[in-house]
This record gives sequence, C-alpha cells and structure tokens, in this order.
Amino acid sequence: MRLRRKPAAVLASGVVAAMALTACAGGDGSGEGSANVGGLEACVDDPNECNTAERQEGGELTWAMSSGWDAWNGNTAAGNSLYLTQATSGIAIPTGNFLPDGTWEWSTDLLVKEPELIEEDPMKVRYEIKPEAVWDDGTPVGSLDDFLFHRNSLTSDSDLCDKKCDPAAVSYGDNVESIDEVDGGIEVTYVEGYLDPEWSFGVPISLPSHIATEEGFDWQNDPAEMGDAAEWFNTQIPYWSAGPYKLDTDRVETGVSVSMVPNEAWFGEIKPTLDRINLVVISEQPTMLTALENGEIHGSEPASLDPDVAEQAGDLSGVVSAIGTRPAWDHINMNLKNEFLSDIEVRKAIFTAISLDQILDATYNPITDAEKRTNHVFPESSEYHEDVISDLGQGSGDIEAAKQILADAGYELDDDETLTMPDGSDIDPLSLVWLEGNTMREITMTLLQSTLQELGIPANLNPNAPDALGSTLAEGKFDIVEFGWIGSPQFTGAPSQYWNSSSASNYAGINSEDIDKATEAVMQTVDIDEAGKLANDAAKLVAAEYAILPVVTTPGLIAMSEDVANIRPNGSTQLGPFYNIGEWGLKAE
Amino acid sequence: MLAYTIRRLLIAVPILLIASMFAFALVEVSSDPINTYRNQLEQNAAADGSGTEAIDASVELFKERNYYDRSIPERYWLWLTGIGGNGDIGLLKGEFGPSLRVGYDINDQIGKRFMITVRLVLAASLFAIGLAMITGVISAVRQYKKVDYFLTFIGFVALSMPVFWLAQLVKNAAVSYNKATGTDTFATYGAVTPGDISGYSTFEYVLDIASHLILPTLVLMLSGYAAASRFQRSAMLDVLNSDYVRLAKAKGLRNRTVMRRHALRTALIPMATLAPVAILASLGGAVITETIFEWQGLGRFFIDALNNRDPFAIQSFLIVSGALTVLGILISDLLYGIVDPRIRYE
Amino acid sequence: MSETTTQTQSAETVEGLVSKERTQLQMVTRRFTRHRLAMGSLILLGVLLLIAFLGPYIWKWGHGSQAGVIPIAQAPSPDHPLGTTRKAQDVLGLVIRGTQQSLKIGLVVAILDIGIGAVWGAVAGLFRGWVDAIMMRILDIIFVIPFLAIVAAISVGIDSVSWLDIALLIGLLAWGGTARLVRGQVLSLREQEFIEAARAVGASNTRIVFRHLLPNVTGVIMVSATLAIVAAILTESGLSFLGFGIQAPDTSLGAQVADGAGSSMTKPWLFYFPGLMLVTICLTFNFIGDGLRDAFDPRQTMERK
Repeated sequence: MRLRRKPAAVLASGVVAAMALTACAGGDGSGEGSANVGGLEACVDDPNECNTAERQEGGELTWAMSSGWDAWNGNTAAGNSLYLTQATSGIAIPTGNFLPDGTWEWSTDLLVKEPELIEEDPMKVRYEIKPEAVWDDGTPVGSLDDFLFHRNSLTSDSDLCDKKCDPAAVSYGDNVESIDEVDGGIEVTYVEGYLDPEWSFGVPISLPSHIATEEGFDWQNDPAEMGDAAEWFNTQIPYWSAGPYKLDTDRVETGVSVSMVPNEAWFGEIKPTLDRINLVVISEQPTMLTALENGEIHGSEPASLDPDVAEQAGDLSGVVSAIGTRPAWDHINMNLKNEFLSDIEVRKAIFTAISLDQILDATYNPITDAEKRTNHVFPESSEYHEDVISDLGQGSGDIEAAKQILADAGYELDDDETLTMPDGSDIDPLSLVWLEGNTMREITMTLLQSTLQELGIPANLNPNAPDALGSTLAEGKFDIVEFGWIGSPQFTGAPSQYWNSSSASNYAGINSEDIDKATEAVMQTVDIDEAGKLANDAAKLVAAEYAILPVVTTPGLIAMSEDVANIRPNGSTQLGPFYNIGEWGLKAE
Repeated sequence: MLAYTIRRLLIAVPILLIASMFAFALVEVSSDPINTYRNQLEQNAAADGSGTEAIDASVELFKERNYYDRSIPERYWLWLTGIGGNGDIGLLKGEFGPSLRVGYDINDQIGKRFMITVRLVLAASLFAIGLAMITGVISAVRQYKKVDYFLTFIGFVALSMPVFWLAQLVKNAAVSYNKATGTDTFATYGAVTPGDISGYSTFEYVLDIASHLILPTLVLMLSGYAAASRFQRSAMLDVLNSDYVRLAKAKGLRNRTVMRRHALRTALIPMATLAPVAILASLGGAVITETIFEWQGLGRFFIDALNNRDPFAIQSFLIVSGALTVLGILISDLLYGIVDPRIRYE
Repeated sequence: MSETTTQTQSAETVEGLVSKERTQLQMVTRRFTRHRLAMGSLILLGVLLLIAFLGPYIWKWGHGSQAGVIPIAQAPSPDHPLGTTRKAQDVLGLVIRGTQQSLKIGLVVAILDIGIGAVWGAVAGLFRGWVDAIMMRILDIIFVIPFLAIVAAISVGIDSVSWLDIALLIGLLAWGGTARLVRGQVLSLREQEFIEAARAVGASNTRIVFRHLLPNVTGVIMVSATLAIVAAILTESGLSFLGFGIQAPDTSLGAQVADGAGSSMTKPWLFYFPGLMLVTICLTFNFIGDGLRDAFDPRQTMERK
C-alpha cells in the first residue's frame, strides 16, 4: 500500500530501439511459498494462443494501467513513453507485433507482403501497403507523406524540422537518404554505409500526415511548421485512428484515462467486438486489486511484481492470474573506476563468490520460477540465447575459490579478517547502490554485503531514490550497483548502449577497443541472425571482463477477470497484453 | 467592515508574496529538472553515437520551454508577472507556467481538479463539523459521564489513526459488503465510472457519483471529525463554566433553557467561525485520501507534480492552497464579527 | 539605600512566585493523578520508553534484514513472536526500532515546538506593537502553505531521509500553533500585577520572558507539545505512505504500517502489530495531553457532582 517515490524517468517505447533503464519502483518484498496465482497455466506451453476464446458481441471492458503519460506524440523526447504506446495501442497503425513467444509477425492487414530488402549497399527497403488500409476518415494509411512525416519527426536535420520536433531518437531519420514512391510501393533508401539489422521489425510510419496538412501545417516545406505540427500532435488528443478502435475524445483525460469505441472504418480482418474499452490509470497496486475484486476493472498488468498483490490476486474468485517474464532483467554492475575494483582479479573473486542461486532463492524463487539470467542480451526464450557466464564460474557461490583468487593476487587478510591491499593499505568500504523501494534488489544487495564480508571486504548499503539513482549512475558515484534494463527483441542497439566506451549508459566504465569493435559490429549487418551471433560474441568479451553479472529476467504479474477473452501476457514486448487489443473481448456465454 | 475587509486583503498580499518566494525557493533548492531530464534522455537514447547532439538540442529546448535558460531571480519575477514570457506564465496574468510534462496544462488541470476536490472536501467537512458540534456539546454537557468518556475515547482513537490505515479498513469493509449483497453499492477508486456515461439518466448519474463519493468522504470525515469534536467540547466547557451561565443557573432558570438560550448559541460560535478556514485549508490537504482512492483532485495533482519534480506545478499547488487558506482565515474573521456582536471592526 | 530596597523587593517577589508555583504544581499534580486515563497513559508511556530504548539491547533481533538467518514472511512463532517480513526482518525488532524512531521524532518535535514556538509567542506577546506584527506575519506565511506539502517538497530534495531530517523538518515548521497559544496567554498575563511588579523592579525582558511569563504558561505549552508529538508521529507516517518519509534501511512505524497495508488480508501481522503500536503511542500522548489540559485549566473541570 505504501507509495513509493516514483521515477522521474519515462520508459522507452517502441520508437527508441534500444533499452531503457528500468527505474520502475520494483517489487515489494520477496515471498514465501509459491504464490497461488492460477488460471493461465496454458500460457507457459502455448504463449501465443492461451486464453483464446469465442467472444460475445458487445460489452464494455475496463483495464488498469500502472502509470500515466504526459503527451500524445511518441516521436518526441517529451512524449515518448511506454504508457502512451499502451494507451494508443488501439488506434496505432498495425505494422506488426512481437508475439509472446518472441517471433515477429508482420501485419497482413496493412501489408500486401512482407517488406523486402531490395538493396544492401546502400540499404534500400521496399514496403507495399494494402490500398484498403485507411485512416478512419478514409485517407489511405502509409502514403508517401506518412513516411516522410515520420522521417521528419525523427531527425536532427534542421532543414527538415526545427528543434521543436524534439525527436525521441534520430538514428532512423538521420540515416535516411530518400523516400520514394515506386510502382505503388514505398522505397526507403538509407545513406551509404549505414546498416541496420532491425529494418525487419516494423514499418517507419506513425502519425497521420494528412491531419497535419488539414490543420494547416506546411510541414513538407517549412521546418518550423513541421516543428509546430510535432508540438500540436503532443497536445492534441488523437481523433484519428488506423486501428480497430478510436478514442472517444470526450471521455479521454490525458494521463488519467482513455475510452475507446470501435473504429467503423477498421480495415483489419479481425473486427472488435467490444462496444467500449476503458483504460484507467491506477498507480497503486492494492487499489488496483481492490477495484478488480470489486468488479470495477477487468484486469491489469502492474509494472512491478508485488508478492503480496500476486498472492491476493490468486485468492480472488473469478480472477485468473499468472506470473511470467517481462522484457527486463536485473544485473550487478561494478564500477571499474574504483581503485580496488579496477583489479580484474578482485572482480573475478567477487563474481565467483556471489551465489546466484542463493539470491534467487531469497528473492523471486519463492513466488515463481524466475529465470536465472546467463546472458547479457538474450533471455532463455530467445533463439540466440547462449550461457556466457557459467563456464567462467560467475555466480557459482564458491567462496573458497574466491578467497584463493584474492590470495593469489596478493591480497591478505589481516588479524580481524579484513582484506588489505597488496601494499598493506586498507580497502575503502564499497558503496552498494540500488533503487530504493525495490525490495528484491535490497535483498540481493544485503546478501552481497554478507558475501563480501566473508571475503573480508567492507561494504555499505546505499539505496538511492529514483531521481538520485540516475545521476549516481551517470556520475559513477557507486562501487557496485544493481539495476535493470528493459529490453525487447530488438536487441542490436543494446550491446553498444551497455558497453561501448562512448556510450552514456556504459555505467561500468568498460573501456576496451575489442568490445567497442564487437558492439559496433552488431549493428553493421542487415541480417538479424548474424547480429544475434555478434551480440553473443560481444557478451562473451564482456563476461570475461568480470564487470557485469546478469542476475535475473524480471518476472511480472498479470491478473484479470475470467470473463475476459484473448488477453494474455506478452513478455516479448513492452506493449505486453496490449499487442492484440483488437482481439480483446468478453467471453461468449 | 468594508474597510476592514480591504485592509485584511491588503495584508494578505505581502504574505502570499513572501509565501510564493518561499515556495519558489523551496522548489529551486530541492529539484534539478535539467539534469534529471538529461540523464533520462541519455538512458533512453539509442547509443548510436549520433545521440549526443540530439540530446543537447533536446535539453536546450527543454530549458527554453521551461524558462530554465534564465537566472533564478529572473525566473521568479517571470513566474510572478509573466513579463517577457511566452504568455504561458505569470501568476498576475492568471497563468501558472509551463509544466515539464509537455501537454500537461497546469491552469487547466488546477481548474478541473479543484472542482473534484471541492466535491470531496465539502461533503466531508460539512458532515464532520455537523457531527462534531453535536457530539462535542453532548460530551461537554455530560462531562465525566460515561457518554463523555465514550465519545472522548472514540475521538482520540480517530485522532490517533493514520488516515491510510483507516482507508484500508473502510475499503475492505465496503468490498465485503458489496460481495455479501451482490451489489456494486460502493466504488473503491476514482470519482466517476470510466467510459460512456452519456446514456445515464440523471438519477443514475447521481447514484454513480454517490457510490464513488461515499468511501473517501467517510474517511476524510472521520479524520476531520475528531479534532473538531474536541474543539467543540472545550468551547462548550468554557461557556458552561462562564459566569453568565452560572448566573443564569443561579437565577433558577431551568437547565434546558440555560442550555438553549445561553450556552449553546455562544458555544457554537467558535466552531462556525472556524469552519471556513478548516474547509478551505483542507482543500489543499486531502492529499492522502485522494491518493488512496485515486481521485484526480488537487492533492493528487501535487503528488504527481512532486514525483515528476515539476517545479511550476509544485509552486502552483503551494500558492493555490496558500491563497485558499488566506481566504479561509479572512472569511472566518469576518464571520466572527457577524455572529459575535462584541467584535467591532475599526 | 534605594538599591537595598529594590533588592529586597525583588527577592520578595521571586520568593512569592516560587511558593505560588509550588502550590500550583501540587494542585496540578493532584488533578492530573485523578485523571485515570492520563495516569494509565503516563505509566504506559514509561513502558513504551523502556521498550524503545532498552528493547534493542534485550531482544535478540534488530530491525535489519538477515536473509538466510531469519525466515521470510513467517507468521508469529516462538522465535519471532510478531512474525517476520518478506525482507527477512523480525517484526518485533522492527516494531521496537519503529517505536524508538517515532518517540525520538516526537521528542525532537516537542523540544523544537517548545523551544521555538513558546519563546516566539512569549516574545511577540510581550513586546506587542510592530515586533508582534512582524512575528505573527512570519507565522502566517508558514501557516499559509500546507504543512505536509512543504515537508514533502523538501524531503524530495534530500537524498537519504533519516529520522532526524524528518524530525527537524516537522519541528522547524510546526511550532506555529504553540506560538499563537502562548502569545494569547502572554497578552493577557502581561497586564497582570506580578509582571508589572517585575517590570517595576527593573527586570530585563529576557528575565521576564523566561522567569515569569513562560512558567505561567507551562500548562498551555505542555498540552500543545503533547499534541504536537501526536501530530508529528502521524505526519511522519503519512509521509512514509506518500514515499517521502524515513528511508530504508532504517524504518519507522509509519513506514511499516504503510508497507504492511497491502497485505492486511494475507499477512495481517505485518499490518496490525506496527499499526497497533502506532495507535497506542498516539493514544498515550493524546490522553496525557487531555489530563494535562484538565489539570492546568481548572475552568475546564467542573466540580464532580
């Protein structure tokens, strides 16, 4: 029930290909006994089809979101938010989805056929949109203008858009050479030398360009008006739709609630059956749970796992629930700038002494079979997953081996069992940092402290408030930190972001030419399978640095009324259960 | 009386002004939105090397939009007067300033949320004060009798309970009631059912509002009631022990007459005059109740602003609730003069 | 000659005052001891103090998390009579620590409340005129902004909030009520003979405030201070609920209740034990305050019939 300091940071949405720091206030407490969630067991073996049911015609469904959003234009840095993406999932252009099992599925509603890479150098991708795909006012979706508008929104080129565009990311827009209409298809040509393996996830369109034109913005010719249009889209509640639903704009409260009704012009194969979907923000999990119990909402997928809530959800009659993985993972991160930790032997000893099994037993295991993370980029469910840490003995909990490593490196225990540097000087206590309020991490760091104590290494616990954590990380004011990354199947930007010496998010301070090269290589291909292999190569190099120890793929709860059809957890994407909002419905009797 | 009112209003101006400086300084020292925003962008940005420039540009835009390209005194002056701003700032022009959250219109929000909070607080306060007057008087008249001990004890327990604890109990009870009766009598979150309400008849609409209002009102009422009833009790005791009531009794007037004609009227005055300041001040103070019941009122506005470290929004709340309190005090003072003829305004 | 006279007079005045105080003290004590709830509460407070400050030395578990040693989220058992939390903490250890923190916060706030509020009010009331006006306007300014809001806003800016931070924040901002009360008392007292007498013998203002005025408003101050303690403890719990209170790894009763409220149905010991302790502490101070009010203000005490 206790409110936690909320993160000031928004989470990255799909627009930003890479990862966001999971500053989300985390689970509150470990657990005991296995939580009695149930009713969605089928989702383990059949993640893509579980909870599928015949839908009744009509009905109203209310779903709770964990957090609000501030603005409506996800292409801007100010508006870009996971929760905006969720709130507008019913009206967004259906380009394709990551299914719960991690595979990408193109939208056959929108596309005539799968986009093609027709040239590799420079990269040229061809998109063919179905003519029946239209915005709700009848204007075709995916016109050349729609492509151009999206590109202009996401570029730092001031000839295309002035600074008011405030782009959330520029790696796409800045690397597009031209966009042309050729034989009824759209061809996007990238600049010479630019390669992006992720061209195969999604179509680069988002907002209705014709609405911008109707509203009087001369966005094609005047960068200032393009900027004005971007700002206008930020404050305007969307009255357009290219999805199965459209917003009932009179019943929309920015950041608080959204109400949707079916889009009559929806061109997709599967038609919505619900008369209305309401999305409401209920930030406190106990409040959400009470509302669910009271029948005021049909379900929710809270942002973090609260074991108490999970357990109570299992007790509610008429409610089904499950704890599944989320596209996020926690890891222990060392600061290589610390004098003591700059010695790789020390890091090796610490990682050897840490017992991941013990940590999981004290945190998630009592509630759910959490996944011990053994790869910095891929969860076990990924086809690219490889265990890169176990062979190195990381996370094995072998205290004796760790002591031996330290002794071999010249560190000695003095009389009161405290380790001293090889030159005999004392070791400054290490500062162990995590996001305050995240009990799972608190337990992990408490265990780490006692592990360090066994090695004779002094350490202090320093939980950080969310806003403080950001600067603590950025300014390297920690020695060892545990935090999380939100990932997605779009992984290719991750290695650079985590480990490249020029990256602002390389909090460990890894500085290795080999790793820089390896991380850059991941993006220098157009073949996603090869990128996967390269990412693993980079991860192996990083593992050998003993700087970052993956801990767990973070689990999360979903709970909903048993009357709901076709809503299922989706750990492959940050959209979660919203990925198939058009199929949502109430079960037929 | 008019002159007095004007003079009081004039005194309120510098108080509010200094309070606004105080609020401004408070927010200035306790937040660093620029740095936070930059960190956040860096964390979110794809690390493809081209990010830094874009981040710089975005931060610059952010600074400009939120007037952080100016010095602190300049920003305060701007916030107060709006001179040199983009028309979205300046208290004196009725503009609260831009929010860090793009698309979040502080003016708009405060207006909307104020009405929501009024609905909650007004009902709760009126019930609380009414109940407090009755039990306070009973408690005083029956001082050191069983009923006094009982009411005192109830009052003290209510005074000793954290609001959110009480709220949880009330919610649990309401859900149990709903389940036991198979109805949806009580709603546990929000001010109104989400979704389409255009089809509701007036009666259904009122019923819907009431079902959302009842639980938070009850919680807010109980926490306000306790203090008020103690206050009423002691006011009544003061009167009962006063010379003129003793005299009236000594004259041989019937106890009931003394109570009705002399004691009660006088004893209710302090409460009546205290009510406006209590109500207006609590308009800004229903923070916890609004949070637990997910009411999007002023209190929730403030918590959201705090969590977003949104300086102008935080200041807006502080200044609005400050102004309400000042207004409450003023009304109380004037009311006091009206009901108590001994007070004369010079 | 005249000097001698002054001295004598002064000594007499002081002596008179002292004897008056003593009898007043006796009266107060007698009235207080007759207030059964207040007396019971006073005894209870002593017990609470013992638990809070001796408890940590007697009870084997502290409030810290001891994963692996303390079982996780276990119902009350002989080894952990109040159960354990999900963070592998002993609830009794937590409650002891929380009681200590709540009492410490209450104490610091009471000291600041008396130290600042009472002196402020006494000075304002004594000097009247523009000094009074300015001092009261300063109070108005503090009063105008909601108290919880200021504390929360400042607490956001503190990296790691300790009990002392919270206590100081509350204490430094919450003395307005006491100041007003004391000022009101002083305004009426200063017209009375013994103050005039003290003035006549040339006592300094400082002396008048500390020797003559404050002792005579002790009752008001003490009642106000007990209420301030309750308010402080509840404010801290509210702040903890909103996420702006004492932060881990330290704890307070408010933080524990707030944490446990979500599991009131499934793990009731996490919710009720710290909650009951919190309510008990607040009730104790409320009753003591009530007893003091009755004891110091005979007008409020009608003769028992």
